[in-house]
Amino acid sequence: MKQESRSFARSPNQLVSVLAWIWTIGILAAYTHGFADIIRLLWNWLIRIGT
Amino acid sequence: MTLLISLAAVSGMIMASIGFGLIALRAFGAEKFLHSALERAMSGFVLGIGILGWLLFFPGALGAFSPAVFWGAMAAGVAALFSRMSSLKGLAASRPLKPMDIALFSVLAVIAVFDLLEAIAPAADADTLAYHFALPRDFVANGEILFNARAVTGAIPLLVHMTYAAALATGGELSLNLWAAATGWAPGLLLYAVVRRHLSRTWSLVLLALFLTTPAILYGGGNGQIETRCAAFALCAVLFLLVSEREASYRVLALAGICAGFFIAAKYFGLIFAGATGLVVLCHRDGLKRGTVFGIAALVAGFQWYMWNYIHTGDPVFPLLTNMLQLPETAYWNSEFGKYFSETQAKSELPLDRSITNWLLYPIFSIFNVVEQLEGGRTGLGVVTLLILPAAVIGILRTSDGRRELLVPLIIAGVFFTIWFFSGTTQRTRHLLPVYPLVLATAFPAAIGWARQTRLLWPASAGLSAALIIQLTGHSLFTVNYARHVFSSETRWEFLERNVTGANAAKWINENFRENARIGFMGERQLAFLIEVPSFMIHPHIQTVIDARPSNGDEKRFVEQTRRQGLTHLLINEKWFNPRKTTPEIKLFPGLINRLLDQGCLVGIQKLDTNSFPSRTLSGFGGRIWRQKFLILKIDYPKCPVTS
Repeated sequence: MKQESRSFARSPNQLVSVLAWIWTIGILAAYTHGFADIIRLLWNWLIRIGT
Repeated sequence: MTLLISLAAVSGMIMASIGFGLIALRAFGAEKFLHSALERAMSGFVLGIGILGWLLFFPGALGAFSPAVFWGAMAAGVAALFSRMSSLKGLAASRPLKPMDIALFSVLAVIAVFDLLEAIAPAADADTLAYHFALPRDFVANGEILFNARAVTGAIPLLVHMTYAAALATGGELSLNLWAAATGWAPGLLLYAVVRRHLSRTWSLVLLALFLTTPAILYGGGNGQIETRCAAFALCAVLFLLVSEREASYRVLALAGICAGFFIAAKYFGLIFAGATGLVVLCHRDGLKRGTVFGIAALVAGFQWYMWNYIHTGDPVFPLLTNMLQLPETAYWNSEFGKYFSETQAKSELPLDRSITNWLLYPIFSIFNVVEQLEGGRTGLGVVTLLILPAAVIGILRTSDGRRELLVPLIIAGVFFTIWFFSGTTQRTRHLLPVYPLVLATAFPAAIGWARQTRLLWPASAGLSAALIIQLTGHSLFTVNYARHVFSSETRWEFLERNVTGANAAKWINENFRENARIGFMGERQLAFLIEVPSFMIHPHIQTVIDARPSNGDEKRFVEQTRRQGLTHLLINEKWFNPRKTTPEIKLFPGLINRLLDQGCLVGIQKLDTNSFPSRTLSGFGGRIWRQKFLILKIDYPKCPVTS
């Protein structure tokens, strides 16, 4: 019984794991999108000083 | 020598604050209940900031605001610290650092260096220059607290500003900036100490780094903005509330009330926080007695500035009650202006209708910057709470022991947010910063605990690392402007002219006017701290002492009001004196200025071009910079129209 619970702890539920990754990546992508104008400004600045 | 005095002053203030706080912890019996020396040191520091500000009100009100008083208060606090050093025993004791801890300490060292660079450079934030630093400067210069009849930025609770006055009077501008930086770290360090009860050092350091790089902290932590300091008071109040429940101690509950009172005395929103916390205190089998203890303590700690406002205006929450209850009109406020003030505030500060839907969606609108006027992007609370939300909810639901301790901070934060949202006050996200640590102190340990149990630490770590990298990038961009000043030969005024709209006009005024001049500057609030001769802020929306509403076209009354304030000159933006004469504007304020110019009552003596920018940080990376014209005018009263 003890071994079973250990083995459960080592391998997370695959579905939960996939959902956790989707949540994390989705939220970060949406958050970063909120700074699109600043990212565009910085990108243009980098292009300008690089050329 | 000046540098040494500044460093001595800020060190003395930090030590004195910890000293006063430790004495209070001992006096209220909280010391023995706190988990570690770090918890005692940090809660002591936060308490001490409040105690110092509270004590300094009295010499300020009695006209004894002198450097000797500030140094004396500091010496008393330092003596208190030495008498209570035993409380901090074990503070330096530490277990060996893991490689990840070393990496996180390195990140924190970088954050500290960034904050130090900001502190070494002059303050450039508009609100800080307008009143957070300008009011204490005026109080110190006059040797007493002065009543200032401006709504929102003048007649407000000023407990933290008392400590700014002490820093400025003892160590000058550098000391003031360093004190702002030190108090800006206070909520983060207290949060670290609190979560160490539940989390490993590594995860606690992750949280500290995430908190210190939160956009709202970057925006307001290193300058005079009050929200960051209020966050420390709020977290301290909840810490003591939970300890008082656990240990069944009324004395510690009183300490929680005192911290809530310090928040009340630092910002009007403290009233909402104290109300939310008071509700939780009342929801207890011994609620009435506990509520009485909490309420009296909060009242004693928080009453000063409300009494001060009441004495001067009859309205303790100036101008809120005057507007709501239609109190009698005074020289400082009237119902017509109150209506105009409310409408103006609503236009600029309330982008969302106060509906249940918007209340529920507010976090989404803010975090993803959907409604830009909420300023949830560059000065918001970041993405961390949303990242950990599912794990935190499940973690809290699966906690059986001590669930109340997890829920109390969340309930207080939730009630605060709800009252704040529906009250009709500003909807800018940074004003929620005071309750942000309450959410983190509960949600973060719950989320990490559940992620660890279910072996989901990889997505949690990856998400939080990405959030930290994004925030650190923001912090780096923010610091470039200050580093450019510190690591170059740029003078203070060159920096200010590069970062503050109209700074060159303030410099010209300082160089050309003497003490017997008195400048009325229109609208450009950020010049209050920079103008070193006597001055008066003629703000169109928040004061009625000199009525400068755009709709005002009565030049006789305007001249009478400027005469009453003893103004000799005006500093005006071009937009106020260049109306298109064919439009109805001629009947409005720009027309008023033009008529006074035509009559010779106002005489232009200097015209200056100045830069103006929506963002200081982004202007260095190709962001928008506008040119504006300022005019300095002399008032020639004999040629002015007079009221018959």
